[in-house]
Amino acid sequence: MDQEHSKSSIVEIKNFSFFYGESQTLYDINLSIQEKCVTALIGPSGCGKSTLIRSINRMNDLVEEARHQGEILFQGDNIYHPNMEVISLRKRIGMVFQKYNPFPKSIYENVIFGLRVAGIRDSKILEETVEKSLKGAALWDEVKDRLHESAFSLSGGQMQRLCIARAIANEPEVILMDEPCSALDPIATAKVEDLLHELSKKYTIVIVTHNMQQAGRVSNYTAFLFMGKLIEFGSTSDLFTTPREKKTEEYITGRFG
Amino acid sequence: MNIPERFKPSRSVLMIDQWMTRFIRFGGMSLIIAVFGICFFILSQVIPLFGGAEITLLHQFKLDSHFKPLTLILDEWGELPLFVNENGEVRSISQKDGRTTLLINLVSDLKGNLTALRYEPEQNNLLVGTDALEIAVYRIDYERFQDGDQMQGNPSFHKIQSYSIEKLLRENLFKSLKGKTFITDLAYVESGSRKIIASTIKSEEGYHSYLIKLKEASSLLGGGEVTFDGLDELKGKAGENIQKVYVNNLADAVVGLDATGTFFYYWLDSDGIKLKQSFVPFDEEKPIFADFLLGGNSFYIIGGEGSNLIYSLNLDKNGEERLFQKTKQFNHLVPTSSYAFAKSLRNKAFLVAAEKEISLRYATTENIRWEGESLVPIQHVALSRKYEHLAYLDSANQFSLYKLNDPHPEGGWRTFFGKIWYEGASNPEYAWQSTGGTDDFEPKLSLIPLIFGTLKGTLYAMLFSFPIAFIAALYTSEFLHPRLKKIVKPTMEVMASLPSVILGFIGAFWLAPLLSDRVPSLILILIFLPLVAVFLGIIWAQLPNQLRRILPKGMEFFISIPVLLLAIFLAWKLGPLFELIVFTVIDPTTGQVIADFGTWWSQITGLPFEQRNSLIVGIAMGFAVIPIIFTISEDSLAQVPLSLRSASLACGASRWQTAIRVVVPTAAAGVFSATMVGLGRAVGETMIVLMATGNTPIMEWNIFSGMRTLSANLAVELPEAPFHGTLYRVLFLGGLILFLMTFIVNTIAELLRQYIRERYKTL
Repeated sequence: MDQEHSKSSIVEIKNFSFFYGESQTLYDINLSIQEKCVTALIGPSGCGKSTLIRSINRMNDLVEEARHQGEILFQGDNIYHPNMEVISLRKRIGMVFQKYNPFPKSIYENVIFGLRVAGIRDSKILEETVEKSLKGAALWDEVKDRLHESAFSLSGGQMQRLCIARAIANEPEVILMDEPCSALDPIATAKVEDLLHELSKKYTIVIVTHNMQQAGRVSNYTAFLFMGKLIEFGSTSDLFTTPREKKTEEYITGRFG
Repeated sequence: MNIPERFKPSRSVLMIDQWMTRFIRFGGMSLIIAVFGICFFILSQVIPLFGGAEITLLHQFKLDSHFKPLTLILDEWGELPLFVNENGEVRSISQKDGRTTLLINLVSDLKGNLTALRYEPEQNNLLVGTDALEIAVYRIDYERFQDGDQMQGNPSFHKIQSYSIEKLLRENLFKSLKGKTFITDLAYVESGSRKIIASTIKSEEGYHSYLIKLKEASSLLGGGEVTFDGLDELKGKAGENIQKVYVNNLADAVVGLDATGTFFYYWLDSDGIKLKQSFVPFDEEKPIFADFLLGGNSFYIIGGEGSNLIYSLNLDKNGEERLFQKTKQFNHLVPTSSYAFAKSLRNKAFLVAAEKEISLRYATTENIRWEGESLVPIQHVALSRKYEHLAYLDSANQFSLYKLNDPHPEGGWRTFFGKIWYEGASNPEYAWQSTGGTDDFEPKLSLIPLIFGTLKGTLYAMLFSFPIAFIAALYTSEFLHPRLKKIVKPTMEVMASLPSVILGFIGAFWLAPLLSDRVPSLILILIFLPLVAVFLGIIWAQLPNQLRRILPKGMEFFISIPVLLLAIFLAWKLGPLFELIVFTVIDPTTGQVIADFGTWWSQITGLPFEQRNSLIVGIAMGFAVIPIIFTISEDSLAQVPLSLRSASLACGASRWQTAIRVVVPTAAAGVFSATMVGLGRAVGETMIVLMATGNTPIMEWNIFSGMRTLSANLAVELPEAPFHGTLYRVLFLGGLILFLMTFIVNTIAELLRQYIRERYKTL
């Protein structure tokens, strides 16, 4: 299985453990994420899937007293190496959060935030990026006439797609999504799921979800985490139809979780 | 409904709940009522300042129709009105029945008939002149005695001067006057040992005015013998004859009027008499009446068409000479050929009557304090010395005496908020000077310099404190290590509780002398600190990652603080050298080149350099304000949702970019509201400004001069303000304005806070 995909793996997690102060939340994770695929991380609450996804672009740096062991390779480089430039890492690995979090700015400014902080001022590039990103996030038709209105005037689903547009405006190589649909209603969720299909043609996507149907619908690969340990990892169809581990089977059949 | 026992709350729980609900409601309501009560109390103390004068009729009597009074005199207590009849008889009017009693005949021992009469209230003198060119000056004294239940005043008349002008002219070799001659006008003034009699005589050739100078020999026992000291004839610039003469009560300014309506101003000193100025008050009107108001500075003139205005002795534009300038203009009077006038001896008010209309006016503010109308034309008016009674006599010989109640004649919107041309000033100004040494002092009660001072103090305090507090808050919330944050915040909160009197004390007695000759050091610190900080940042960024990792995130300042302290120390030590190079001036007194910032500043900018100045206030008050702005700003910065920071960082923003582009704009209103709360504190701060400034109510933005704030003014003037006096009420007005200022500032802050809380509720 590992051999089958190793030639196109973009993120390689090796013997990765993670600690919040004294308590360990991840135990010796080994996982390789394939390029231009959707990889879903599933597992019950508190299993460490969010911690894992936030480790991939070092968002856990914000947390006090966090430390880790092992390494995560991105395009072959260890992202925890002292010489790794976190800012460019985060440009290459974008992120969409559980709760939509647009800035209290206009829709336009939200999309180009990444370009603004990168110092790009050329208004032609900015406008092109806004259109391209919003189209990429399937939001363009809904907001093209009110780009300069506050982002807070959008609905929840629209705001989450705006956050996706903001993430893809940087043209990252990987997009991390931490339960992107958990705050959305079923219709908005369906729209985001459709979008994921489109995005996976261009980007590598890692998605955390507690919704197994969603994982089944959108992902190519699925990793099942339990109590901070990676229990099983494989192609989604295999994992859902013929799980190798008993725990996996129990979880996906809804016996716990 | 039948509720099982176990679901029922116990009775004591219900009772306590009910009682507490009422108690809290009562407490809240009492608080609101108390605040409104204070507001209403302050308002009730302030409102009388804006009211006019009130009068109530005390007595009204008809005098015998054969009396033809020439003047009306009220004593200090308004008890014994006097009038002088055309034959020189002084008569009193009884308040019981209006009967008149002859007290004295002023011309009985003079030759000739009475032709000129003048009452000068300031020194309480009655002057008489006759057609035999004899003059006499009588002083009216009152003796108070108990008459049953009432106090009574008994006037007595002492002749203090008596001269024959004719004899004086002859002895001083003046040309003798032709034809029938008589005295038309008189003036007499005593000022120290100088005494002056001015007299105008009409002859066939016209008018002649003379000034008789008298000298009093000084002796140990007081006044000595008065001897004649010279006689001058007053002439206009081109030799015009003077028809009327006015002398001010300092006996240094004499004003003459000629036949064309031109006034001439003569200045008197020990050397003699000098014509200084001539002025024409009206273009088309003839001056009918003129007199000095209390204090001898303001000269009130009425024209034939009812124009009435004041010329005041003020410094001219060059600030060299005191000359008459038109300073006030009053509402028109009814045109008539003779006006009745009486001035107050307590303030700048005067009573003027034209035909049937009578009005009480206030010179400083140009206000009409009270207006009235009688049935027949008014001939004479009088004001009591204490400004408590007014009286008038109409052409039907009806005498009316009123009680006057005008506790705050100097009040009014213009006094407190407008520009007023005060006596002696070279132009209209906003001025605060509530009390002076003499009775004729004009209180200057403009609150504008105090409001200005409040704003100035606040501005400099904010200039100092806002950048420090805001940057400190930003650093603490975004960059400081959380463990240190737990120490810094409470420390700052303790700083907020530092008594301001201590800050004021330190500012006034330690900081002010320290900084007074170390301004160049301070300037260097202001240049060095940001430079060194930026430089340090650049070096830090150049260091390899491994080296930077030694210091945990948020602990960087352990390195920067010693460096910054070193920079301050260096700047402090280099200050005198810097002063020596840059701030050198030529000392105007010695002509030597010296290095002194204070002198340099006054020479370059023309503004004064004072030791206790706005800079000291800014720093000292800044220390009171910094903790407030810091704490509230830090709270609002820290309240920016973590999800926004994450979003920003995930977009590839650095921590600094996140702080500036996301955190600060999101918390902007909170920071603004913190600033407003700090501003509110600075506006109301008293002790620091009281102690650390000179409390001079000046209006200039100069950082090296002081100011007087509304709050400090209350503390300074408190002992000067008699209960229910004008100043007492003006202080309440200042308090009210202060209250409004802080109220507005705090309300804006609170509204913004609520608005922002509403706006970010979705996050």
